[in-house]
Amino acid sequence: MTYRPAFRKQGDGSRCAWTNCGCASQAMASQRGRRGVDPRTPHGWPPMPAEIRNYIGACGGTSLNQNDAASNHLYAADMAVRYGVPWATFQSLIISGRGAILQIRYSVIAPTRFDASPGFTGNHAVYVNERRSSDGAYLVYDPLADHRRASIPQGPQWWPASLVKAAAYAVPGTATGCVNASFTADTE
Amino acid sequence: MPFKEKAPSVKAPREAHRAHADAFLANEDHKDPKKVNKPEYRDTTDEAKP
Repeated sequence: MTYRPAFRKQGDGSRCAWTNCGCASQAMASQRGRRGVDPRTPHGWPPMPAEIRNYIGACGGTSLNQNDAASNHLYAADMAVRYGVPWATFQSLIISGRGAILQIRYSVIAPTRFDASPGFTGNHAVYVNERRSSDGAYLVYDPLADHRRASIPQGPQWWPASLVKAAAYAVPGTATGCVNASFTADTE
Repeated sequence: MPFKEKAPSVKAPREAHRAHADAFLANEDHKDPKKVNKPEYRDTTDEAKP
């Protein structure tokens, strides 16, 4: 079975929480990349969004490369940041045994039962752990899915592939038929 | 040059996917959003609603 990291929510009361989707996704990806094994760096373990944010610095949205740099420094977990990834290649990377931080546009998620931030429609980051072969769905860890209200989902959810793809395609300026993502090491 | 190799079928063995993944990751152009995305692409996330 594919290694599954602990779910980390971005709304944890820490500094910059509501712009910490990238940091929370990175925390989950770093744990996956190391299969839960503490690298014994001088920093904390397991990976946490607030520690990644503190390394990055000021509040605001984060980039895939900023989070990769933090992950390398704090947890010795290197990511492969790639832009304009053809969808079929993204799928192949996940099947091959990697997890991924995926950039999405939340306006695509908003009208669905997976919406975990009513009113939010902007750029967002989620962690994708694996693909289910029976129906092609993806196990998505949305850092907003913390069940802080009854209508909000809780923890990892199986999103249909069509939804994952549509949300990733919708990030403005992304090459047609492609997605932007940061991949963990192959752990399987 | 952007990567053009066709991905294996989802039912292909994991080793075929690994080979495809390795070939893709070796392509330097996909490390730079300016080389593969449109000019308006912005590599940052936004603030969500509590």
